[in-house]
Amino acid sequence: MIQLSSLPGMGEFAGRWVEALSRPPLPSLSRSLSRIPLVAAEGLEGIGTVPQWVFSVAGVEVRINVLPLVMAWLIMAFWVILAWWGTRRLKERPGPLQTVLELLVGAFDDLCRDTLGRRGRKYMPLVTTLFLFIVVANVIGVFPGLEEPTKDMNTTLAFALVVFVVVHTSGIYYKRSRYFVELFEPMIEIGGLKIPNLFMFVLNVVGEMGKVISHAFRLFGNILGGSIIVLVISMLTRNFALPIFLKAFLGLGIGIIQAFVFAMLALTYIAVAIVED
Amino acid sequence: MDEITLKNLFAPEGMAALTRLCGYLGAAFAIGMAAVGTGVGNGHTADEACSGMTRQPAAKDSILRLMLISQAVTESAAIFALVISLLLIFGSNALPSLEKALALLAAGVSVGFGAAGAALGSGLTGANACKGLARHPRTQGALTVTMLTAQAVVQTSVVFALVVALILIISSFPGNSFIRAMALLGAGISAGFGAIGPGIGTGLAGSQAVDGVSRNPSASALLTRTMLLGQAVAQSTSIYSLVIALLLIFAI
Amino acid sequence: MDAITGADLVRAMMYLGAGICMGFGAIGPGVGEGFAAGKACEGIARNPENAGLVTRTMLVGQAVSESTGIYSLVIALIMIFSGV
Repeated sequence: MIQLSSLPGMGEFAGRWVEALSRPPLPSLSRSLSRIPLVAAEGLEGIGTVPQWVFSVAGVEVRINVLPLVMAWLIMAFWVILAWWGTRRLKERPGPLQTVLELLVGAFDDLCRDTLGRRGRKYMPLVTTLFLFIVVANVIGVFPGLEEPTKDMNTTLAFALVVFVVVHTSGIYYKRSRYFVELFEPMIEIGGLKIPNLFMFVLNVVGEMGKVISHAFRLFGNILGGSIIVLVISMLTRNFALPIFLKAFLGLGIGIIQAFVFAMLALTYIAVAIVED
Repeated sequence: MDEITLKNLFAPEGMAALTRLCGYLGAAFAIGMAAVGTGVGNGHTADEACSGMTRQPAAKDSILRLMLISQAVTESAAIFALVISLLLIFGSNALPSLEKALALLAAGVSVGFGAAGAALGSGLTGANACKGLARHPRTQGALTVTMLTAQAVVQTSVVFALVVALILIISSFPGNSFIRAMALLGAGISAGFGAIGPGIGTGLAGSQAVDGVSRNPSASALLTRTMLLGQAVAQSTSIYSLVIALLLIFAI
Repeated sequence: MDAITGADLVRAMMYLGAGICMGFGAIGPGVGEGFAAGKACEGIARNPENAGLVTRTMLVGQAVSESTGIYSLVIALIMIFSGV
């Protein structure tokens, strides 16, 4: 209890007000909830700790987060089996599974062809796979016992690095040395002679790294934030009814949109690197 | 419990009280600033929706639906801030210290200002979406998709601030060093204010893109692509703020 | 807690200043670049054939307005790592 009445001039009256206000709000609620320590507790416990496999390879210590790895393989198995089942007997009048798959693949095919032109066909599998994997990864948390692998920075950073490598190797492949020259744009022009602009080079390089970081962090932060919201609400409502609906709403809403944004951004970066204008 | 006066608030026996104080203050910043931003943003959306309905009474159902969807997405920034304030108010600390106290205050500042910026930007996008829908009611499908994509990218700013706030709340800072404490406060300010500008900026970009889609729906793929590119570049200063915040938390 | 020495105060305020510097320094470029992106979208909506030129101009304008953001970043990094 903090007593500010030791300050000169603060009378009894003010002291009593301060006393009343310094008590925690909603006394009955807080009595049961104030036992949520922020570092370790039932439910909120392990919020900062993850189970890891630790082993050393040639003297270097390697740590692998177990749960995202297992979940990622599960999702891969899911899509491989679904793809195999759906394309087993392709019919002229497709059944429901084939219709859905055709819808997804067709939509992304059109999108890639619109954005990338002739060369679009080559990048369509990458963009579509990013979308399909991430959308299932974001939603999988609804099922009890399963966790989203995109909640871990390693997964999202891996995807962002894949996109980075694809974008820059494609750019170099299609534009050769002009690709590096473009990093110096816009150049300083003195009487018709173009001088490479070092300032722009620094800005462009930093910008490219910023793109990778923002690409990874956007997905990671959204999914992690959603899961922590559900965790806190579960604590506050004592796991009564609300959390599962909240999880489904957040998983489907934020998850699908973020997966779409991730794939679209990957497509946009590829388009900027390879499209001639 | 012995009395904590202002004299020994900053002494070792007052640390528990100081941590609680700063937690409450942080919660106040978080939900207070988030409410400001969300209120203004949602107000813009509602304003344009009402104007649109008077201009085009036949489309009032779809305008209402679009407005509600947009406002739901804008609210999510405030919900992030609300969750952080709840964590700050109702959590208890096993290891209270000066650093932890300022870390909690910084967490509140971070997510509060971050949510304000993101919600403002999101609201601007939703406002132009409703305006565009009123003018061209047939473009509803493409308009909704573009608006949702734009708002999802706008929310990234508050997500960065949320990540910093969560790190500040969950990590343990057992020391009492004034330097470290000020560094943590600086991290919160950096992440918080650094998310305002990009939030509003990406919202402005999204609002014009949505306007363009309503005028020219056949160019919607091209417009979405340009909008995403522009938004990704506008987010870069929020990345810099995030990097500085993480440096201040982990590298001091 | 020991008394705070002058040197401690300077270091502490440098870290706080680094945070404030980057925080406020990110407001301007963020709003400006977003505005540029918005106007580029408007231009493309009016005239989709010019998309390439408009996009390139937008990127150039955004890169230039980024520069004050980079100045803030550099000052913040200097304040963190100067080791005073």
